[in-house]
Amino acid sequence: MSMTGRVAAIVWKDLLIEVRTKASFHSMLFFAALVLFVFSFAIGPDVPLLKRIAAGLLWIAIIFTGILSLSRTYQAEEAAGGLEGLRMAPGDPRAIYLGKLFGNIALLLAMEMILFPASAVLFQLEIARHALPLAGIAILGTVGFSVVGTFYAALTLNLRAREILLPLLLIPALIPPLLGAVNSTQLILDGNPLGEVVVWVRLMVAYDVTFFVVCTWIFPIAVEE
Amino acid sequence: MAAGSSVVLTGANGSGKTTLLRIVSTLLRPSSGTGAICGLPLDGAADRIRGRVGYISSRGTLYDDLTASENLRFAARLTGASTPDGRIEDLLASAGLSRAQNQRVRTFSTGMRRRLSLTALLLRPLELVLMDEPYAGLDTEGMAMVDHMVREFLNAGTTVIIASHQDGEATRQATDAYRIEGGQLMPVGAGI
Repeated sequence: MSMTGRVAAIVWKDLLIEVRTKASFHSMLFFAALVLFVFSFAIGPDVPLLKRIAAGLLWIAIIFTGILSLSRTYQAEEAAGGLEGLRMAPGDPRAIYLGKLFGNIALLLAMEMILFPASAVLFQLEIARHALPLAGIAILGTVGFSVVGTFYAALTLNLRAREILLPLLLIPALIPPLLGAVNSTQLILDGNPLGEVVVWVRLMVAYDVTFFVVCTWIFPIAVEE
Repeated sequence: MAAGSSVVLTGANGSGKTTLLRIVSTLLRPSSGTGAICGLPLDGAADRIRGRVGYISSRGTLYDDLTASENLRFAARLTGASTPDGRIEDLLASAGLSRAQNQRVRTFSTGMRRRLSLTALLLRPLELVLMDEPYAGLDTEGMAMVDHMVREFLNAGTTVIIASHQDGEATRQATDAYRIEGGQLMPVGAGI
């Protein structure tokens, strides 16, 4: 079986289970809505202030929601006896990481398709006018978050305090893509020329590529017992 | 261990039966020593060994929110087993799970889950099958089903190693039996 086929099988299985149970999606949606509402009510009706900090609030909601989803990434495997079944399959174990990674990216992007319009309403943002560049930033930010997050979720899978350890390990590692995503989102929303965003896009692309290669490469060592 | 033989492993709880099976299956790296599985060295040929070895843990590896048929299809896709039209349905029928093939595994009894886990091992030709407590939690009918599956593996020339506390036909008729005690593997004759 080719690597692509095994990755596709894992993505298909994870998304099918998610579509059936909606275990991650519903809790992510509820949590993200709560974060956005709390922030918007806490700040009050100060529209200029809301617009100035909207990108930061939006990405905080995405990161927190994503962490919630990551902790559930391997939950189905745990219920099915751990990663044993996947690890016993012949072939490169990196297929497990890639399958989980693409599943996470798909789920988080689906969530962002609700989150972006919701924040446009709450913070009075003109998202539709900048839809294309914002979609590009959302993809870059989501890939960066998922690449590192999926890896750390596997690393902490068998730890008792994983709910605490996962965000503790993950959030410091996410500072570069978070800076890139927040700054580029804000620049786009403020109507700045796209040329000003390039430096942040470069940072995110470099981060995504570097960590994709590193995490994929060392994944077999991370899950070996 | 001769090819096509059946071996039963016994020992007290915590004696190391599961650890041994996990090392043989390449899921666990040995802390010391060497070994060869199907003629392949344990250290450095894990991927090729996994292509020839099937392992079923006492919990099994099934996804509660997939149906029986979807679980088998996923296992086939993951292991690269070919599933021509009707193959999955035939396997489910031979395990007595035809009527439950479109039911989610969440609704299955312990016996049905065990049968489905074992059926997944029949998807591809294997040289060695490792079973950890295959009789645990099963009634007489379920145990007979496990014995039937073991006979199928042996008839196909597959070597079977069973770690079990319980006495079933497959453990009684095993060609070799070993007991793990104090970290040592001691032969105790044939069957238990």
